[in-house]
Amino acid sequence: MSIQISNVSRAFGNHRALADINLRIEPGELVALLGPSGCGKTTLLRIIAGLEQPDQGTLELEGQDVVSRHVRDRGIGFVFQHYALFRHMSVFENVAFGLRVRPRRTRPIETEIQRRVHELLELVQLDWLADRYPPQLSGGQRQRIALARALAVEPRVLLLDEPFGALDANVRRDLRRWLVRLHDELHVTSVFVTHDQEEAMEVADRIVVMNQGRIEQYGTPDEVYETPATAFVSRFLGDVNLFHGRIEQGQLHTAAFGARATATPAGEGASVQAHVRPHELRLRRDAGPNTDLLPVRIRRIRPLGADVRIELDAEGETGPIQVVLPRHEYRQQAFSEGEQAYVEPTQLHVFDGDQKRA
Amino acid sequence: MMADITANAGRVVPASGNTRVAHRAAADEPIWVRRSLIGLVFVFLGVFLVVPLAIVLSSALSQGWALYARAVTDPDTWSAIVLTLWVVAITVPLNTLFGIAAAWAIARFDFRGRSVLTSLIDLPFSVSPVVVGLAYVLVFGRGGWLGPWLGAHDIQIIFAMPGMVLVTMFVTVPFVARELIPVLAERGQEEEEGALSLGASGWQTFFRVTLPAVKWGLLYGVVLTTARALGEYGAVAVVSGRVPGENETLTLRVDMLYENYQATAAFAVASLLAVIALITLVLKTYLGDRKDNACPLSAGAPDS
Repeated sequence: MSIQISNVSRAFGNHRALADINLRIEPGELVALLGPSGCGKTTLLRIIAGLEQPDQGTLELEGQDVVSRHVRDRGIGFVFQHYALFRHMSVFENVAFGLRVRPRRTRPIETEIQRRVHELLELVQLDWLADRYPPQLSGGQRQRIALARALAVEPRVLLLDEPFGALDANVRRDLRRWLVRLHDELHVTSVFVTHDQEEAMEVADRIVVMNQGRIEQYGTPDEVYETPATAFVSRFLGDVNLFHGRIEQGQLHTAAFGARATATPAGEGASVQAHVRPHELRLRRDAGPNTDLLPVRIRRIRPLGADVRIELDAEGETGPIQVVLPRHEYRQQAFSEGEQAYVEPTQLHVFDGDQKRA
Repeated sequence: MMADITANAGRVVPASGNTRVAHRAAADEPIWVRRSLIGLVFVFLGVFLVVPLAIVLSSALSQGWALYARAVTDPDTWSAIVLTLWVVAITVPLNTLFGIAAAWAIARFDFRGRSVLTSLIDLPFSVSPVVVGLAYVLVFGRGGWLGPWLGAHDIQIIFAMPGMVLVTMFVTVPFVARELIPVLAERGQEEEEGALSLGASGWQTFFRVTLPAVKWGLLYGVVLTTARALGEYGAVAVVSGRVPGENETLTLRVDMLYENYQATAAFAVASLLAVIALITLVLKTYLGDRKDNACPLSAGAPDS
């Protein structure tokens, strides 16, 4: 089912939680609302659910305006950040709840409820926990039960609020992949909220990057990472090295790298910031004939699994510069701490210098 | 310097068991302070609570079972028991409903005057029951605000059961709400929102999700309300006509008997109240435990 959000705004007192949000989510998509805490992503999710009302704007599910429709009539499944399982009910009864509270006309008979609940518990691979109570379950199990409970009402849209937020790193990774497989199987339109860019990248088909109540960018994980629309997106999606510069004669001038041809949104004479991701810097021993390389000194070398992170000091730059090399490349070159070297950007993302820093 | 540090470290590490003991001793009071404090509390409670209660019971039985039975089965005493139970039976359900509504409003809604409401609910704690009784006389009594109107419609509130119910309700207003507000606030709204998102109606959410979650706290509040309603004296004394066999509650009956030099009978009736109090105490302790255990999600055992 498609979700169409148009001109939605919401304020809490003086705080603008959402400012003029426009967003379309296609049927069957798995979309992440990504942003720092307080960016409005949870409010947006709750507005889609009907747990929160927008001050203005419209919300359409499958082309039908649902703003005035009660949460129970929207056909959504909601998985809460802390799962919100009913503590006094067994796992079975938790999952059966959505079926049991139906009006008598549409309520399935008991054997049908039994069958459906066990089917769902098998789907989340926890059928053996049917008689337990929520306090007896681990975090990951609670999460999956909460999901089964939400799916029991056969929602047309599945909404998840920080679904992995309260879990251990390992459990989180497993559950993420499991959720992606589940989504491939069920193909229900799903929206989840996260502040973890890695999670969004790994799980979502498309990512909505939000900041201060606005959408900064909406695109596939590749798009938002490779061509960030704003400095905020660029910073939020991963480490960047920041260089200040100016546009002169259509070229980017920075103290570090001299003049470079680059695509830029900024006009002539504008002061800009250039972002270079750690893996977009090439580190080399010899400058060769190039004169626009930045001489640096290797401060620290940190092996991090498949990659090696190297911190560099450069004259005139305020903070250390970060470079990430694949491990095999690092081995070949055999850099060592304290050594003199040169860096060159392979790619630069240029943003208006006036843009607020993330 | 270096050597010093390593030597120190060497001493501390294997002795970690001892350091823990040292920590405990450092944080606690000396043993004689502990013992005398505990002793003092026991002596105090013994002298002021246990001994008087024991004397009530022993005095009640001092003239033998026969007299005790006669005092307790006296028609006027019986009518006092019945009236007291009526007052309780009306007061407790009404105040339970009010308590749930008030606690819900305070814990769930953010509105102007919320803190005022919270303080108002506590008002009966700080107002003397006698003052409450007098206030009701001034409102509902013959010379009071509503007196002429009530008189014209032949409704008697003061010096009759309605007045006694009203003042008892006033005095017992805080208990249920006071118990429920923290429980509701602590549980938060997520489970209720979860129920709504699963298609439950407001009533279904309340009866299937909210009420089971707060039931021990609610029962605890109900027990406290009942105990207070049974034992109320001051406010009821003011608004009761004090006609034996007609509008005398148990507490008033005790007082009446005692004033009339029927000490043994007074003690016998008082012993009934004392027994009810003991039952309440046991219930209260049990429910208090359940309430505390039922709340946290981390609790091991299921609560049903």
